[in-house]
Amino acid sequence: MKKLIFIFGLIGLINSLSGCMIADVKPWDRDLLAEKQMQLTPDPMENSMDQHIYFSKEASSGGQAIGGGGCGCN
Amino acid sequence: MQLNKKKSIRLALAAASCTLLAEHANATEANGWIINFGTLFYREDNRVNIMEPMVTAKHKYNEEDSFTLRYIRDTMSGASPTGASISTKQQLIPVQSNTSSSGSTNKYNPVDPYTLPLSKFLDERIAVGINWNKSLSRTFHSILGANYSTEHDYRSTSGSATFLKDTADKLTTFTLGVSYSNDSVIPIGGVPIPLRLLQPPSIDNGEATQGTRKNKQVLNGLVGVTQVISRRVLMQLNFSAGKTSGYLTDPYKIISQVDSITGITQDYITEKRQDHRYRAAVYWKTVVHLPEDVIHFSYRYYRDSWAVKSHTLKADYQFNITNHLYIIPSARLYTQTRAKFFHYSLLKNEPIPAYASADLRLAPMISATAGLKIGYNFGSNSEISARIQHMRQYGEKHQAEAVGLQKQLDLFPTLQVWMFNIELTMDI
Repeated sequence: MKKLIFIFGLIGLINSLSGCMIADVKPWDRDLLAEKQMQLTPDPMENSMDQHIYFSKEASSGGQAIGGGGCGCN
Repeated sequence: MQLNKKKSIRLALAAASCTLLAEHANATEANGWIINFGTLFYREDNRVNIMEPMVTAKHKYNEEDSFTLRYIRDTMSGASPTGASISTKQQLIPVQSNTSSSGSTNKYNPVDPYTLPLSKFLDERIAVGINWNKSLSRTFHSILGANYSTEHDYRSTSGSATFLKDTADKLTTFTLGVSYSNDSVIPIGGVPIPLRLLQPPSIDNGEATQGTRKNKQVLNGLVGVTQVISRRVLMQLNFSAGKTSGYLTDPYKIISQVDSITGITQDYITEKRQDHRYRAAVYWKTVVHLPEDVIHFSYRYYRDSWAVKSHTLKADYQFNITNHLYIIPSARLYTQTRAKFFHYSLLKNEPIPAYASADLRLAPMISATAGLKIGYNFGSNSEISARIQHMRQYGEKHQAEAVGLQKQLDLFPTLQVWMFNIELTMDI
């Protein structure tokens, strides 16, 4: 039941985002979005260092992306 | 009104020039190399030290396509928790035949009262990888990856494929990814028999190991959507799931067996974990461009079949001091519940459960990290940066299952970690 509520909540969230909030940003208005600092992962090397550290010190992993090498640290 | 009109024209012109500059930057980047050097220095108080230099080289051989090569070398030393419980008494822990990764020939590991038992180690890891970004059409891209890493006692070979599909207006991107890893665990001294009593070497004549190598497979999948919400807001939502199977036990970890009345440690046994683990995570990230600065905010909910549930919140705020200089304060907060077979220790007079581990990374905990980064960019893809971070991990100091003298002890000593990394990126 909890799973169903969660899935419907997620669908509702996406629906509300698409219906109410999303603007039609034209290509000539995407200057800010093109900046490096606006990338989802602006510094991949630093991100890989962080993922490696948290993978080795915590019980959780993943979510952000897939790939990357394995490690005997956990 | 007139003022607003003038302002909007000015902004439009600025936007147009920025777009042209960005296109020019991309044009110069095509057919070139971007080299990235970095080194991480990681230090835990009285425990692990790591130095991790790495280099990546990205070659863009046309407007859309590129490949990236990676090389990482970790040097790890220091001491990590054995899993044995802290005690009010002096402890003499029989050394497993397979725990001589530090090169020590001692038969006992002496541990002072009120001290968390640690085991020294020394290891080196080398990892190489390649990613190939290929455009399949104007709105369809693929990223293929392969990685290999080797340590004294661990090998990992993995591959991944990610496909990105843009909508026609390029405001929405759908992501589908899958990865597979085949790893080998080769414990020094052999694979220990799980849940086996550690005995003094003089009387321990039984077989302590079951072969020299075990395997582990990791399969992960991800579906996601990235959406441009407005000119200043970008959002990503991912759902990922995975299965890990094979040898998931830590061959070097042990568990204390304590007296059920006094709480004094009587014996130690090797640990054993379930041989499969199903994971799932939901990840949400938002990037917001303020008039000058940029905020990155993310949240992850994670759960797995070992009953670990976790929440992760992370926020970065990029202050753009000048066009070239910036600083980024960051904060991360993480909480997790215990794995279902985690125990700080076992009671000597009770039957040993089917699975048991005292690895503190499977304990309930809170982890908080604060960081500060400073960066200076001196070209479209050239930058130098440095970052310092401090992490603290807190657990249950006096948890409910403690018995006797254990109630006076801090069973999860707070871990403090300092991390420093520097990076240099050059466009050549």
